[in-house]
Amino acid sequence: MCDRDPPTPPDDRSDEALVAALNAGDTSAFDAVYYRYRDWVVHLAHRFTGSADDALDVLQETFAYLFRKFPGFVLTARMTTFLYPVVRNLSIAARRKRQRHAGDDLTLAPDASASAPPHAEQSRDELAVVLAGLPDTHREVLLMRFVDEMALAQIAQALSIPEGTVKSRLHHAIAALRNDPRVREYFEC
Amino acid sequence: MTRAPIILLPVLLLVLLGGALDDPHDSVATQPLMSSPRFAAVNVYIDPGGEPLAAYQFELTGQGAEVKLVGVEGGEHQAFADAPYYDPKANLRNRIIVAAFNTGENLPHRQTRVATVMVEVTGPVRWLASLDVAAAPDAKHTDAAISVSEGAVQ
Amino acid sequence: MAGFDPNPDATDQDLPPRLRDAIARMHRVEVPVPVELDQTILADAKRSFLGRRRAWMLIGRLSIGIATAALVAIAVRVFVAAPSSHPPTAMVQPPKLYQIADVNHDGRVDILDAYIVARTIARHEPLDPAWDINGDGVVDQKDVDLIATLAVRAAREPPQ
Repeated sequence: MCDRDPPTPPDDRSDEALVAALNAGDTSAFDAVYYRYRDWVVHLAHRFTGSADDALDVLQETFAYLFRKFPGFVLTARMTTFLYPVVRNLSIAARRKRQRHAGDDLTLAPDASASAPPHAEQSRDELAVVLAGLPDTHREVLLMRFVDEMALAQIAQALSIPEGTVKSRLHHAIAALRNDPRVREYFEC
Repeated sequence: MTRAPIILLPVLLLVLLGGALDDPHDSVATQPLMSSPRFAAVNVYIDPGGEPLAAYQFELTGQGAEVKLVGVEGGEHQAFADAPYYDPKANLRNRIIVAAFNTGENLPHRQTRVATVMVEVTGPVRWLASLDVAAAPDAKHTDAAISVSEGAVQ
Repeated sequence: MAGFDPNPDATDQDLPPRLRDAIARMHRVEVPVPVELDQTILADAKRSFLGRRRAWMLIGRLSIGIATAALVAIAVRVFVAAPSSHPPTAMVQPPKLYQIADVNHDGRVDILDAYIVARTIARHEPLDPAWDINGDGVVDQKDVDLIATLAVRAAREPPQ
Protein backbone atom coordinates (compact mmCIF):
# COMPACT_ATOMS: atom_id res chain seq x y z
CA MET A 1 0.00 0.00 0.00
CA CYS A 2 1.98 3.03 1.21
CA ASP A 3 5.72 3.51 0.95
CA ARG A 4 6.40 3.24 4.62
CA ASP A 5 5.55 0.23 6.70
CA PRO A 6 5.26 0.63 10.45
CA PRO A 7 8.71 0.59 12.08
CA THR A 8 7.54 -1.85 14.77
CA PRO A 9 5.84 -5.24 14.40
CA PRO A 10 2.04 -5.06 14.14
CA ASP A 11 0.26 -5.00 17.50
CA ASP A 12 -2.26 -7.80 17.95
CA ARG A 13 -4.27 -6.10 20.66
CA SER A 14 -7.87 -5.26 19.85
CA ASP A 15 -8.95 -1.64 19.48
CA GLU A 16 -10.66 -1.86 22.87
CA ALA A 17 -7.47 -3.13 24.48
CA LEU A 18 -5.43 -0.37 22.87
CA VAL A 19 -7.89 2.27 24.04
CA ALA A 20 -7.75 0.86 27.55
CA ALA A 21 -3.97 0.86 27.46
CA LEU A 22 -3.91 4.48 26.35
CA ASN A 23 -6.34 5.52 29.05
CA ALA A 24 -4.06 3.79 31.53
CA GLY A 25 -1.09 5.80 30.31
CA ASP A 26 0.62 3.37 27.92
CA THR A 27 1.77 5.77 25.21
CA SER A 28 3.18 2.94 23.07
CA ALA A 29 -0.42 2.17 22.16
CA PHE A 30 -0.48 5.43 20.18
CA ASP A 31 1.85 3.82 17.63
CA ALA A 32 -0.36 0.76 17.31
CA VAL A 33 -3.55 2.76 16.78
CA TYR A 34 -1.86 5.14 14.38
CA TYR A 35 -0.31 2.55 12.08
CA ARG A 36 -3.42 0.42 12.15
CA TYR A 37 -5.59 3.20 10.75
CA ARG A 38 -3.14 5.56 9.07
CA ASP A 39 -3.57 4.23 5.55
CA TRP A 40 -7.34 3.99 5.84
CA VAL A 41 -7.55 7.60 6.99
CA VAL A 42 -5.25 8.97 4.33
CA HIS A 43 -7.03 7.09 1.53
CA LEU A 44 -10.41 8.31 2.72
CA ALA A 45 -9.12 11.86 3.05
CA HIS A 46 -7.72 11.72 -0.47
CA ARG A 47 -11.04 10.49 -1.76
CA PHE A 48 -12.75 13.51 -0.25
CA THR A 49 -10.16 16.15 -0.99
CA GLY A 50 -8.64 14.99 -4.26
CA SER A 51 -5.29 16.31 -3.07
CA ALA A 52 -2.40 14.36 -1.57
CA ASP A 53 -1.25 17.42 0.38
CA ASP A 54 -4.70 18.00 1.84
CA ALA A 55 -4.99 14.30 2.62
CA LEU A 56 -1.80 14.41 4.65
CA ASP A 57 -3.03 17.52 6.50
CA VAL A 58 -6.28 15.75 7.27
CA LEU A 59 -4.34 12.71 8.42
CA GLN A 60 -2.44 14.82 10.93
CA GLU A 61 -5.56 16.65 12.12
CA THR A 62 -7.56 13.45 12.44
CA PHE A 63 -5.08 11.77 14.72
CA ALA A 64 -4.50 14.97 16.67
CA TYR A 65 -8.26 15.03 17.25
CA LEU A 66 -8.38 11.36 18.23
CA PHE A 67 -5.38 11.43 20.54
CA ARG A 68 -6.59 14.59 22.30
CA LYS A 69 -9.44 12.50 23.65
CA PHE A 70 -7.12 10.48 25.86
CA PRO A 71 -7.22 9.78 28.72
CA GLY A 72 -10.91 9.25 29.19
CA PHE A 73 -11.90 8.16 25.69
CA VAL A 74 -14.63 5.50 25.47
CA LEU A 75 -14.82 3.57 22.23
CA THR A 76 -18.48 2.79 21.61
CA ALA A 77 -18.19 1.70 17.98
CA ARG A 78 -15.59 0.40 15.57
CA MET A 79 -12.68 2.78 15.17
CA THR A 80 -13.45 3.31 11.48
CA THR A 81 -17.05 4.19 12.36
CA PHE A 82 -15.78 6.76 14.83
CA LEU A 83 -13.13 8.15 12.50
CA TYR A 84 -15.22 8.34 9.35
CA PRO A 85 -17.16 11.53 10.18
CA VAL A 86 -14.01 13.10 11.62
CA VAL A 87 -12.09 12.54 8.39
CA ARG A 88 -15.06 13.60 6.35
CA ASN A 89 -15.56 16.87 8.18
CA LEU A 90 -11.87 17.74 8.24
CA SER A 91 -11.63 16.95 4.55
CA ILE A 92 -14.57 19.19 3.74
CA ALA A 93 -12.91 21.99 5.67
CA ALA A 94 -9.61 21.42 3.90
CA ARG A 95 -11.29 21.34 0.54
CA ARG A 96 -13.22 24.53 1.25
CA LYS A 97 -10.07 26.23 2.32
CA ARG A 98 -8.33 25.20 -0.86
CA GLN A 99 -11.07 25.72 -3.36
CA ARG A 100 -13.24 28.30 -1.53
CA HIS A 101 -16.34 26.21 -2.01
CA ALA A 102 -19.41 27.26 -0.07
CA GLY A 103 -21.27 23.95 -0.25
CA ASP A 104 -20.86 20.43 1.09
CA ASP A 105 -19.17 19.01 -1.99
CA LEU A 106 -18.17 15.36 -1.97
CA THR A 107 -17.32 15.18 -5.64
CA LEU A 108 -15.04 12.29 -6.42
CA ALA A 109 -11.42 13.11 -7.03
CA PRO A 110 -9.88 11.85 -10.28
CA ASP A 111 -7.81 8.72 -9.99
CA ALA A 112 -4.19 9.84 -9.79
CA SER A 113 -2.62 6.47 -10.57
CA ALA A 114 -3.73 6.33 -14.19
CA SER A 115 -1.63 3.83 -16.08
CA ALA A 116 -3.83 1.25 -17.78
CA PRO A 117 -4.69 -0.08 -21.23
CA PRO A 118 -6.81 2.32 -23.32
CA HIS A 119 -9.96 0.22 -23.07
CA ALA A 120 -9.63 -0.09 -19.32
CA GLU A 121 -8.86 3.61 -19.14
CA GLN A 122 -12.02 4.46 -21.05
CA SER A 123 -14.12 2.11 -18.94
CA ARG A 124 -12.73 3.60 -15.79
CA ASP A 125 -13.39 7.12 -17.00
CA GLU A 126 -16.97 6.22 -17.84
CA LEU A 127 -17.41 4.57 -14.49
CA ALA A 128 -16.00 7.67 -12.81
CA VAL A 129 -18.44 9.86 -14.74
CA VAL A 130 -21.37 7.64 -13.83
CA LEU A 131 -20.40 7.60 -10.18
CA ALA A 132 -19.92 11.37 -10.19
CA GLY A 133 -23.46 11.67 -11.54
CA LEU A 134 -24.98 9.92 -8.55
CA PRO A 135 -26.46 12.07 -5.78
CA ASP A 136 -23.75 12.78 -3.19
CA THR A 137 -25.59 10.95 -0.43
CA HIS A 138 -26.09 7.84 -2.57
CA ARG A 139 -22.53 7.80 -3.81
CA GLU A 140 -21.15 8.21 -0.32
CA VAL A 141 -23.03 5.18 0.98
CA LEU A 142 -21.99 3.16 -2.06
CA LEU A 143 -18.32 3.93 -1.48
CA MET A 144 -18.51 3.33 2.24
CA ARG A 145 -19.97 -0.11 1.49
CA PHE A 146 -17.76 -1.27 -1.33
CA VAL A 147 -14.54 0.71 -0.91
CA ASP A 148 -14.35 1.14 2.86
CA GLU A 149 -16.06 -2.25 3.35
CA MET A 150 -18.25 -1.00 6.15
CA ALA A 151 -21.31 -2.92 7.27
CA LEU A 152 -24.72 -1.26 6.96
CA ALA A 153 -24.95 -0.70 10.71
CA GLN A 154 -21.51 0.94 10.73
CA ILE A 155 -22.48 3.23 7.87
CA ALA A 156 -25.66 4.19 9.68
CA GLN A 157 -23.75 5.00 12.84
CA ALA A 158 -20.98 6.88 11.07
CA LEU A 159 -23.46 9.07 9.21
CA SER A 160 -25.94 9.30 12.11
CA ILE A 161 -28.82 8.10 9.94
CA PRO A 162 -31.19 5.11 10.29
CA GLU A 163 -30.08 1.82 8.82
CA GLY A 164 -33.19 1.83 6.63
CA THR A 165 -32.01 5.06 5.05
CA VAL A 166 -28.64 3.47 4.35
CA LYS A 167 -30.32 0.54 2.61
CA SER A 168 -32.54 2.86 0.62
CA ARG A 169 -29.64 5.02 -0.60
CA LEU A 170 -27.62 1.94 -1.46
CA HIS A 171 -30.54 0.45 -3.36
CA HIS A 172 -30.98 3.63 -5.42
CA ALA A 173 -27.26 3.91 -6.14
CA ILE A 174 -27.02 0.32 -7.37
CA ALA A 175 -30.21 0.66 -9.41
CA ALA A 176 -28.80 3.79 -11.07
CA LEU A 177 -25.63 1.92 -12.01
CA ARG A 178 -27.57 -1.06 -13.30
CA ASN A 179 -29.75 1.13 -15.52
CA ASP A 180 -26.90 3.19 -16.94
CA PRO A 181 -25.83 1.90 -20.39
CA ARG A 182 -22.27 3.07 -19.84
CA VAL A 183 -21.68 0.56 -17.06
CA ARG A 184 -24.26 -2.06 -17.90
CA GLU A 185 -21.51 -4.39 -19.09
CA TYR A 186 -20.50 -4.97 -15.50
CA PHE A 187 -23.92 -6.43 -14.77
CA GLU A 188 -23.86 -8.79 -17.70
CA CYS A 189 -22.68 -12.29 -16.88
CA MET B 1 6.05 69.59 58.31
CA THR B 2 3.50 66.93 59.07
CA ARG B 3 3.77 63.32 58.02
CA ALA B 4 0.37 63.28 56.33
CA PRO B 5 1.54 64.54 52.90
CA ILE B 6 4.47 62.08 52.95
CA ILE B 7 2.08 59.18 53.65
CA LEU B 8 -0.45 60.36 51.12
CA LEU B 9 2.14 60.78 48.36
CA PRO B 10 2.82 57.05 47.73
CA VAL B 11 -0.91 56.36 47.96
CA LEU B 12 -1.54 59.01 45.34
CA LEU B 13 1.21 57.56 43.14
CA LEU B 14 -0.30 54.11 43.42
CA VAL B 15 -3.70 55.40 42.41
CA LEU B 16 -2.24 57.24 39.43
CA LEU B 17 -0.05 54.33 38.34
CA GLY B 18 -2.82 51.76 38.68
CA GLY B 19 -4.25 52.78 35.33
CA ALA B 20 -0.89 52.38 33.56
CA LEU B 21 -0.62 48.73 34.54
CA ASP B 22 -3.84 47.60 32.90
CA ASP B 23 -3.84 44.14 31.34
CA PRO B 24 -6.26 44.02 28.40
CA HIS B 25 -7.68 40.85 29.92
CA ASP B 26 -8.50 42.63 33.14
CA SER B 27 -10.42 45.80 33.69
CA VAL B 28 -11.07 48.02 36.66
CA ALA B 29 -13.70 50.65 37.19
CA THR B 30 -14.24 52.71 40.33
CA GLN B 31 -17.02 54.97 41.48
CA PRO B 32 -17.07 58.02 43.72
CA LEU B 33 -17.88 57.57 47.36
CA MET B 34 -21.59 56.90 47.96
CA SER B 35 -23.17 55.63 51.14
CA SER B 36 -26.81 54.94 50.24
CA PRO B 37 -27.95 51.89 48.27
CA ARG B 38 -28.22 52.49 44.60
CA PHE B 39 -29.02 50.41 41.58
CA ALA B 40 -26.36 50.27 38.93
CA ALA B 41 -25.69 48.59 35.63
CA VAL B 42 -22.19 47.26 35.05
CA ASN B 43 -21.62 47.15 31.32
CA VAL B 44 -19.06 44.62 30.16
CA TYR B 45 -17.41 45.06 26.77
CA ILE B 46 -15.24 42.70 24.80
CA ASP B 47 -13.11 43.77 21.88
CA PRO B 48 -12.18 40.72 19.77
CA GLY B 49 -9.80 42.77 17.66
CA GLY B 50 -11.35 42.03 14.30
CA GLU B 51 -11.88 38.29 14.87
CA PRO B 52 -15.43 36.91 15.08
CA LEU B 53 -16.41 36.36 18.70
CA ALA B 54 -18.32 33.10 19.08
CA ALA B 55 -17.96 32.45 22.82
CA TYR B 56 -16.91 34.39 25.87
CA GLN B 57 -16.59 33.89 29.59
CA PHE B 58 -15.60 36.53 32.11
CA GLU B 59 -15.42 36.94 35.87
CA LEU B 60 -16.64 40.12 37.52
CA THR B 61 -15.88 41.04 41.10
CA GLY B 62 -17.15 44.00 43.07
CA GLN B 63 -14.62 44.94 45.72
CA GLY B 64 -15.07 47.15 48.71
CA ALA B 65 -18.83 47.50 48.78
CA GLU B 66 -21.99 45.71 49.72
CA VAL B 67 -23.13 44.36 46.37
CA LYS B 68 -26.26 42.40 45.61
CA LEU B 69 -26.83 40.78 42.27
CA VAL B 70 -30.12 41.79 40.71
CA GLY B 71 -29.78 40.21 37.28
CA VAL B 72 -27.79 39.89 34.09
CA GLU B 73 -28.85 41.12 30.70
CA GLY B 74 -27.64 40.22 27.25
CA GLY B 75 -25.50 42.39 25.04
CA GLU B 76 -25.99 44.79 22.17
CA HIS B 77 -25.08 42.48 19.27
CA GLN B 78 -27.74 40.08 18.08
CA ALA B 79 -25.42 37.15 18.70
CA PHE B 80 -25.36 37.87 22.42
CA ALA B 81 -28.69 39.58 22.90
CA ASP B 82 -30.14 36.73 24.96
CA ALA B 83 -29.39 36.56 28.65
CA PRO B 84 -26.06 34.80 29.20
CA TYR B 85 -25.32 31.91 31.53
CA TYR B 86 -24.53 32.92 35.10
CA ASP B 87 -25.05 31.61 38.61
CA PRO B 88 -28.07 33.46 40.08
CA LYS B 89 -26.79 32.73 43.57
CA ALA B 90 -23.35 34.16 43.01
CA ASN B 91 -22.16 36.56 45.66
CA LEU B 92 -20.41 39.49 44.11
CA ARG B 93 -18.20 39.92 47.11
CA ASN B 94 -16.43 36.92 45.60
CA ARG B 95 -17.16 36.92 41.93
CA ILE B 96 -19.74 36.20 39.28
CA ILE B 97 -18.92 34.25 36.18
CA VAL B 98 -20.85 35.15 33.05
CA ALA B 99 -20.63 33.28 29.79
CA ALA B 100 -22.38 32.91 26.48
CA PHE B 101 -21.85 31.57 23.00
CA ASN B 102 -23.46 31.67 19.61
CA THR B 103 -23.16 28.95 16.99
CA GLY B 104 -24.41 31.15 14.15
CA GLU B 105 -22.49 33.12 11.58
CA ASN B 106 -23.59 36.63 12.49
CA LEU B 107 -20.98 37.42 15.12
CA PRO B 108 -19.40 40.64 16.38
CA HIS B 109 -15.90 41.47 15.21
CA ARG B 110 -15.40 44.78 17.01
CA GLN B 111 -15.81 46.00 20.56
CA THR B 112 -19.28 45.16 21.74
CA ARG B 113 -21.17 45.20 24.99
CA VAL B 114 -21.67 41.51 25.70
CA ALA B 115 -23.57 41.72 28.96
CA THR B 116 -24.84 44.06 31.63
CA VAL B 117 -24.79 42.99 35.25
CA MET B 118 -27.52 44.69 37.25
CA VAL B 119 -26.62 45.26 40.88
CA GLU B 120 -27.64 47.02 44.05
CA VAL B 121 -24.61 48.68 45.57
CA THR B 122 -24.01 50.29 48.93
CA GLY B 123 -20.76 52.17 49.26
CA PRO B 124 -17.83 52.69 46.95
CA VAL B 125 -17.12 49.76 44.72
CA ARG B 126 -14.20 48.75 42.55
CA TRP B 127 -15.12 46.50 39.63
CA LEU B 128 -12.61 43.94 38.46
CA ALA B 129 -13.27 41.97 35.31
CA SER B 130 -11.09 39.28 33.85
CA LEU B 131 -11.63 37.56 30.54
CA ASP B 132 -11.38 33.77 30.81
CA VAL B 133 -12.56 32.79 27.36
CA ALA B 134 -12.81 34.63 24.08
CA ALA B 135 -13.11 32.20 21.21
CA ALA B 136 -13.70 32.28 17.48
CA PRO B 137 -16.12 29.93 15.70
CA ASP B 138 -13.42 27.28 15.42
CA ALA B 139 -13.34 27.17 19.24
CA LYS B 140 -9.81 28.55 19.34
CA HIS B 141 -8.91 31.28 21.80
CA THR B 142 -8.48 34.75 20.35
CA ASP B 143 -6.62 37.73 21.70
CA ALA B 144 -9.45 39.88 22.98
CA ALA B 145 -9.69 42.67 25.55
CA ILE B 146 -12.33 43.26 28.20
CA SER B 147 -13.46 46.52 29.73
CA VAL B 148 -16.20 47.55 32.15
CA SER B 149 -18.06 50.72 32.93
CA GLU B 150 -20.77 51.44 35.40
CA GLY B 151 -23.86 53.33 34.45
CA ALA B 152 -27.13 54.24 36.10
CA VAL B 153 -30.04 51.92 35.53
CA GLN B 154 -32.21 53.19 32.66
CA MET C 1 -10.69 -3.30 9.68
CA ALA C 2 -14.34 -4.21 8.96
CA GLY C 3 -14.91 -7.24 6.75
CA PHE C 4 -17.41 -7.34 3.95
CA ASP C 5 -20.85 -8.12 5.27
CA PRO C 6 -23.25 -8.95 2.41
CA ASN C 7 -26.97 -8.89 3.12
CA PRO C 8 -28.30 -12.25 1.86
CA ASP C 9 -31.87 -10.95 1.83
CA ALA C 10 -31.50 -8.31 -0.84
CA THR C 11 -29.89 -8.80 -4.24
CA ASP C 12 -30.23 -5.08 -4.82
CA GLN C 13 -27.77 -4.43 -2.02
CA ASP C 14 -24.80 -5.94 -3.82
CA LEU C 15 -22.71 -5.23 -6.87
CA PRO C 16 -21.24 -7.67 -9.35
CA PRO C 17 -17.68 -8.55 -8.28
CA ARG C 18 -16.12 -6.97 -11.39
CA LEU C 19 -17.83 -3.66 -10.73
CA ARG C 20 -17.03 -3.81 -7.05
CA ASP C 21 -13.38 -4.37 -7.81
CA ALA C 22 -13.32 -1.61 -10.44
CA ILE C 23 -14.80 0.91 -8.01
CA ALA C 24 -12.45 -0.17 -5.23
CA ARG C 25 -9.39 0.05 -7.56
CA MET C 26 -10.46 3.49 -8.71
CA HIS C 27 -10.42 4.80 -5.16
CA ARG C 28 -7.34 3.07 -3.77
CA VAL C 29 -4.93 5.82 -4.70
CA GLU C 30 -1.41 5.60 -3.36
CA VAL C 31 -0.67 8.47 -1.00
CA PRO C 32 2.82 8.05 0.44
CA VAL C 33 3.05 9.20 4.02
CA PRO C 34 6.48 10.67 4.84
CA VAL C 35 8.10 9.02 7.81
CA GLU C 36 8.74 12.48 9.25
CA LEU C 37 4.99 13.07 9.35
CA ASP C 38 4.48 9.76 11.16
CA GLN C 39 7.04 10.78 13.74
CA THR C 40 5.59 14.28 14.14
CA ILE C 41 2.06 13.02 14.66
CA LEU C 42 3.13 10.45 17.25
CA ALA C 43 5.50 12.81 19.06
CA ASP C 44 2.80 15.52 19.30
CA ALA C 45 0.29 13.00 20.59
CA LYS C 46 2.58 11.70 23.32
CA ARG C 47 3.73 15.15 24.36
CA SER C 48 0.25 16.61 24.76
CA PHE C 49 -1.03 13.40 26.36
CA LEU C 50 1.64 13.53 29.04
CA GLY C 51 0.85 17.18 29.64
CA ARG C 52 -2.83 16.43 30.08
CA ARG C 53 -2.09 13.54 32.41
CA ARG C 54 -0.01 15.80 34.61
CA ALA C 55 -2.79 18.38 34.66
CA TRP C 56 -5.39 15.75 35.51
CA MET C 57 -3.23 14.31 38.27
CA LEU C 58 -2.90 17.78 39.77
CA ILE C 59 -6.63 18.41 39.44
CA GLY C 60 -7.27 15.00 40.95
CA ARG C 61 -5.11 15.78 43.97
CA LEU C 62 -6.67 19.22 44.37
CA SER C 63 -10.15 17.75 44.03
CA ILE C 64 -9.41 15.15 46.69
CA GLY C 65 -8.07 17.88 48.95
CA ILE C 66 -11.06 20.15 48.34
CA ALA C 67 -13.50 17.28 48.73
CA THR C 68 -11.88 16.26 52.00
CA ALA C 69 -11.96 19.82 53.29
CA ALA C 70 -15.58 20.19 52.23
CA LEU C 71 -16.55 16.96 53.97
CA VAL C 72 -14.84 18.13 57.15
CA ALA C 73 -16.53 21.50 56.92
CA ILE C 74 -19.92 19.91 56.38
CA ALA C 75 -19.35 17.47 59.22
CA VAL C 76 -18.40 20.34 61.54
CA ARG C 77 -21.37 22.34 60.39
CA VAL C 78 -23.82 19.50 60.85
CA PHE C 79 -22.56 18.01 64.09
CA VAL C 80 -20.91 20.92 65.88
CA ALA C 81 -22.43 24.25 64.78
CA ALA C 82 -25.86 25.43 65.83
CA PRO C 83 -28.67 24.85 63.38
CA SER C 84 -29.25 27.73 61.04
CA SER C 85 -31.93 28.76 58.61
CA HIS C 86 -29.35 29.03 55.85
CA PRO C 87 -29.09 26.02 53.57
CA PRO C 88 -25.94 23.89 53.66
CA THR C 89 -23.19 24.85 51.29
CA ALA C 90 -22.25 21.92 49.08
CA MET C 91 -19.71 23.72 46.97
CA VAL C 92 -17.78 20.82 45.56
CA GLN C 93 -18.97 19.03 42.48
CA PRO C 94 -17.95 15.41 42.09
CA PRO C 95 -14.60 15.45 40.27
CA LYS C 96 -15.85 12.87 37.76
CA LEU C 97 -18.59 15.21 36.54
CA TYR C 98 -16.05 17.91 35.80
CA GLN C 99 -13.86 15.39 34.02
CA ILE C 100 -16.75 14.40 31.75
CA ALA C 101 -17.79 18.00 31.18
CA ASP C 102 -14.26 18.96 30.13
CA VAL C 103 -15.09 18.20 26.53
CA ASN C 104 -11.93 19.62 25.00
CA HIS C 105 -9.70 18.09 27.69
CA ASP C 106 -7.91 21.31 28.52
CA GLY C 107 -8.11 20.67 32.24
CA ARG C 108 -11.02 22.96 33.05
CA VAL C 109 -14.73 23.27 32.45
CA ASP C 110 -15.65 26.53 30.78
CA ILE C 111 -18.04 27.87 28.17
CA LEU C 112 -15.82 26.55 25.40
CA ASP C 113 -16.80 23.00 26.36
CA ALA C 114 -20.49 23.88 26.10
CA TYR C 115 -19.88 25.70 22.84
CA ILE C 116 -18.15 22.74 21.22
CA VAL C 117 -21.09 20.45 21.98
CA ALA C 118 -23.63 23.05 20.91
CA ARG C 119 -21.79 23.73 17.68
CA THR C 120 -21.62 20.03 16.86
CA ILE C 121 -25.37 19.71 17.47
CA ALA C 122 -26.11 22.79 15.37
CA ARG C 123 -24.05 21.45 12.49
CA HIS C 124 -25.73 18.03 12.68
CA GLU C 125 -22.32 16.42 13.04
CA PRO C 126 -21.73 13.12 14.83
CA LEU C 127 -21.97 13.49 18.59
CA ASP C 128 -19.55 11.89 21.01
CA PRO C 129 -21.55 9.67 23.40
CA ALA C 130 -19.20 10.82 26.17
CA TRP C 131 -20.92 14.22 25.94
CA ASP C 132 -24.07 12.77 27.49
CA ILE C 133 -23.28 14.67 30.68
CA ASN C 134 -26.64 14.16 32.36
CA GLY C 135 -26.71 10.47 31.49
CA ASP C 136 -30.13 10.41 29.89
CA GLY C 137 -28.91 8.55 26.83
CA VAL C 138 -29.05 11.53 24.48
CA VAL C 139 -26.59 14.32 23.72
CA ASP C 140 -28.71 17.45 23.41
CA GLN C 141 -29.27 20.99 24.63
CA LYS C 142 -29.75 19.75 28.18
CA ASP C 143 -26.15 18.57 28.20
CA VAL C 144 -25.02 21.90 26.76
CA ASP C 145 -26.89 23.76 29.48
CA LEU C 146 -25.46 21.53 32.17
CA ILE C 147 -21.90 22.11 31.01
CA ALA C 148 -22.51 25.86 30.86
CA THR C 149 -24.01 25.78 34.33
CA LEU C 150 -20.91 24.05 35.65
CA ALA C 151 -18.74 26.57 33.88
CA VAL C 152 -20.31 29.59 35.53
CA ARG C 153 -20.85 28.06 38.93
CA ALA C 154 -19.00 30.36 41.32
CA ALA C 155 -18.10 29.27 44.84
CA ARG C 156 -20.78 30.35 47.26
CA GLU C 157 -19.93 31.93 50.55
CA PRO C 158 -20.77 29.88 53.64
CA PRO C 159 -23.55 31.36 55.77
CA GLN C 160 -22.42 34.01 58.27
